Amino acid sequence: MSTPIQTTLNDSGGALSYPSPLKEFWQSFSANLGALIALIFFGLLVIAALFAPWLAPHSPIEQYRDALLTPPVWVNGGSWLHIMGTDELGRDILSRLMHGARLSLMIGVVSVALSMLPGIVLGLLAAFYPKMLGNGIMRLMDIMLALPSLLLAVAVVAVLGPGLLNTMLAIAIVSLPSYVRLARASAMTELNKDYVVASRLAGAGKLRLMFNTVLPNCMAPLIVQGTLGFSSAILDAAALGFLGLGAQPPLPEWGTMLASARDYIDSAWWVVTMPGVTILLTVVALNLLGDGLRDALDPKLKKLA
Amino acid sequence: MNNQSTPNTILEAKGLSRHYSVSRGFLQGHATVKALNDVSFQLAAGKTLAVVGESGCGKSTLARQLTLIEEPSSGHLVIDGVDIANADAAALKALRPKVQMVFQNPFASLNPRKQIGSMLAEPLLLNTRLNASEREQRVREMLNIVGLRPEHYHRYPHMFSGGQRQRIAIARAMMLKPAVLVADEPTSALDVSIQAQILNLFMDLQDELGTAYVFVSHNLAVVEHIADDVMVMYFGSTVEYGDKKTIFEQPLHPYTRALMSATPAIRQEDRRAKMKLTGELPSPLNPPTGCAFSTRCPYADSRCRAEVPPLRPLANRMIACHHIENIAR
Repeated sequence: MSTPIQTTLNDSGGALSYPSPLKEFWQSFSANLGALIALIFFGLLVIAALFAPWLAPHSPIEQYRDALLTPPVWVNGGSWLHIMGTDELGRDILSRLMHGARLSLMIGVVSVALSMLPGIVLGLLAAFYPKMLGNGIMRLMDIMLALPSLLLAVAVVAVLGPGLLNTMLAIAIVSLPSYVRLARASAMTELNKDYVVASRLAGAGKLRLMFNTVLPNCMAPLIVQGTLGFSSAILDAAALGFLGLGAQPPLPEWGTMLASARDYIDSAWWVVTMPGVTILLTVVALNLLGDGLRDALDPKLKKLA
Repeated sequence: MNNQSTPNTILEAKGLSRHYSVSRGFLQGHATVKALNDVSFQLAAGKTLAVVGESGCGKSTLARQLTLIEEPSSGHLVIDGVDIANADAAALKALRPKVQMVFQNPFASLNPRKQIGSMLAEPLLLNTRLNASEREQRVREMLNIVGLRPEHYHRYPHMFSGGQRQRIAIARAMMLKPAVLVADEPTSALDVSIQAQILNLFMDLQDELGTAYVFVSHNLAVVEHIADDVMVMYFGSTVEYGDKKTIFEQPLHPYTRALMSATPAIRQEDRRAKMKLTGELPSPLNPPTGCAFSTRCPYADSRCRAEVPPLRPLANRMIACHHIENIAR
């Protein structure tokens, strides 16, 4: 909505530059301190993942037999050689966590993409053809929602066989319903608005209406759901890894690390704690990021509507 | 107005009806709502037909039929000589650009995610073979015609006021130079000071492009300003239809008279004898027998409640009332 001030400035002549949508978004996002800290943490994680082979002090799979279960540097007996200590096979935990970040981020990106894209398409189809396709699609999603998500993921992996790719696929299938429901709900709200009718009058076909007219107006909640889904994908992958159904050793996946170290929880707490804390911090950061995105995107939508 | 189809008739409706089937709930079966009932009119190129009536009388349903958003349940709609009932998909696609629409609420009718330039270029992109620079040129010409400035080309709808948005909506509707423009209460969401500007824009565009308007409104002052013909609707049917001057100088149907007397006037001599209506529109699920207006009409008698009055010519207009000869005196 244009404010009176803008109008008067506008009438006084001269090219007045409005803040670009991106800048406006950044202003409201950066006002949220938690989201900002989360963004910085997430940025560091991405850098660590991208440059892991160069940043990591050791190879993630090399076993230092003379330094089994070395404690972290700030504990008695620790050394600067292994800042976060080593695990039961003498592998450097920090290096493994940095390489594991690559896997976790990949799992997040791939499974969010694998669930978001079909989810959007199915949701739009359900909204555009409520009688023909909508009922069928939504009942199917209801059935998927009726099963506990991790249980369904375990079942999918059990059918497909353990492994990283199948883990991502299972997580994508499990998180599909939330995207479908979200896309359908926001598309149905938008479909009732006059600008969709105007676009139809201009001659727009169904495909153009779906992806060019309606979808851009539904993206804000989907982006937020994607960010939150990213964290739950990492968590689910870690859980599957912990159960031995995800990434297989010696891949330094965080959940797998946690699982293989649980025997040492009494004697060498750091072997379990380090990957656990990493998962915790990453998931918290992503949730804060998602909250920040929602807060930054939603009032803008209200202003536009 | 005459009943023969004149050569420059651009839009003609013959017995246009639209019925909706409404679910009444579990185990109750469906009810039929007659939102639009046997409406006929003719519109010549460059003329304006105003459709008047209170909320819920079928004005917007009529607009949806005319713009081909919905198919009429029965009746004929002839646009530029083509009857849409007989037209195949290709002919319908060719007809679509000929009827465009301006909506009531300019805050919902513009896509918030599109720049004005690309929004106005969309009809050209979909219906013409112009290339990108030709489209931009046409859009910039149209921005100029509707009184917007060249730098508005790259802006988003939320940067505009209501009046400016309605100008954009009008520009979008006019991009394809349609033969008929349906305007569904285009000024009712605007400030009074802006309303006049928008109405004048409508009239200027009509002079320039020769577009026929179907102007849906419940504001009689606006109608008197812009219309050539007036059609008064009540409960989905036409009650009085004729030339603007005839109807405004001597409204005959009791409902038209009630509407007119409800319009405030400043000057004493412009005021009409007050005629107050009590009650509300009857429920469309349970329509009254006979004349739909009989539940609120001060002149209604047993005949009105039993027999539906036909639309008949009388005193230079079409009117639907049994007792009009007695009332008019």
